[in-house]
Formats: sequence, C-alpha cells, structure tokens
Amino acid sequence: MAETTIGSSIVIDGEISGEESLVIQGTVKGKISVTEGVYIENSATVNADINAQTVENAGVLTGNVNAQNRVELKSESKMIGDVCAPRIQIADGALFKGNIDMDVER
Amino acid sequence: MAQAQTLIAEKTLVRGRIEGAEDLLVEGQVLGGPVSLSGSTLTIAEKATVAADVTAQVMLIDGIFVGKAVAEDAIELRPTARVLGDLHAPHISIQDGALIRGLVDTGLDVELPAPAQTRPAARPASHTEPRRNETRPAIPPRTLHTPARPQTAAPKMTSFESAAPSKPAEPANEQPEPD
Repeated sequence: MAETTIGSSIVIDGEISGEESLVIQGTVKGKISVTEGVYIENSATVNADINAQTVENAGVLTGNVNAQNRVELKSESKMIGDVCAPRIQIADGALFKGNIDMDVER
Repeated sequence: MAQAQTLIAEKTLVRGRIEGAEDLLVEGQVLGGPVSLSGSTLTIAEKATVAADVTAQVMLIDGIFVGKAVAEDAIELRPTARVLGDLHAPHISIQDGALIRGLVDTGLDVELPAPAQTRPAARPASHTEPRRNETRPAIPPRTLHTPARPQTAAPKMTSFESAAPSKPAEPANEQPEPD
C-alpha cells in the first residue's frame, strides 16, 4: 500500500515527485517525476510531463512521457504528447497523437 | 468516502495547489499549497510534513504542519504534532506532547472591553506614550528645528563663495607650467 493515490475529486496543480508508485484518479496539472510507476485510471485527467519507470494510461493524458521501462496506452484512453520509452504498448481503441521514440540506437 | 481516500505516501513530495472534496492522508510531504478540501478531513501522519495554507472540514495532525489552517469543524493536534502557524476552527484540541507556536483561534466572540485592552498590552513600550497627549504637540517643535537648519546652511554658502575665488587661482598656477 506504499503508493500515492490521487482520488477522483482531487485537483493538484503543481509538481509531484517521489520514490513510490502514483495512482491518479483525479486531475493533475504540472509535472510528475517518480522512480516507480504512474497509473492513470479512466476517471483521471492529467496535463503534465511525466518521468517514471512505467506509465499506464487509461484516462486522458496530455503531456510528454519519458519512461525508463514501459508505456502502456489502454483501450479507451486518450493521449496527446510524445512518448520516449524502450517498450510501448498501445491497445486497440486508444486515441494517441504524438511521436514515439524507442531509442533504438542505444 | 473513506474508500475514496487520497494518499500521499511516505516518499512522495507534492509541490503546489491541491483541491478536492475527499479525505486526504499525507504521509509524505506537501509544500507550497494551498490545500483546500471542502467537507473533508486532512490527516497529517507522524512523519509527514505539510507546509501550506489549509482549508478543510477537519484536520488531524500527527506530524509537522507549517502554515495557516482553517477548519470548518475541528483541528486536533496529536501528541507528536509540531505546528508552526495559525489554527482557526470552532473546535481545537491540543494533546499533551504536541508543540505549537502560533495563533489558536476558536472564534471567541465575547462582548467585553477586555479584548480591546489586550491588544495594546502587546506593546508595553508605547503604552505609556499615547496616554500623554502632550507628546503629540512635541512634533511641531521638531518642525521648528528644521527651518533652523537652512540658517546654519546659509553661512556654509558664504564659505563656498569664499572658496570659489581660490579655484581660479589654481589654474593660474597651472598655466605657468606649460610655459
């Protein structure tokens, strides 16, 4: 249970940083930087640049994502922004507009 | 309501504005603020830090709080609480061991002359001077001293005038040198 949870009625305007997983059900604007996973649930709206190990999006995400491990865009999710991650998964039905960089040359 | 609790865990830092209508448990750090939770409870855990102005229904403080807290219902300082700031709530409880420096306001509306006397009591040095109304007329004599200064400055001008004719004498000494 050592994960931060932003509930569905919560609005955060600012910066979230930490060394734990982050579950977002509400609204976050600004910047997110965590060393574990970011899980954006279908009730969530995120307008932020994200730097994390893993990002799973089931909600509405606007912003650039930089993941060290994996990015997953689930069905019925929306995302506008660039993705930089070695592993990227986009489910059927997900809406996505942006560039993908898997950094193959490294 | 209890299941929809928002948790900011131990190793997480949130810097910025937080708004919402559900309970918030802070085990990590919240800086900047403001934090506004309408009709809900903010709990600051023992090792947590909240440095922000907070508006909530109830505040339960086990950790460190710096800022202004306004609760519609109650604020409770547990024994491990460390508070630097102002607390405003109709019900405020401070348990044994809690440390606080700041204003504690439970909305005491008592119609007594005593509150008016307690405010000037915070200024004991100026307390004696306002009673003497004679000290206020003492200000015009200060204005009388200030016009006296131009009079002393006027003889200084005469000394400049006396010094002025000596200046043309100096270039007169420089002129013979190129010759």
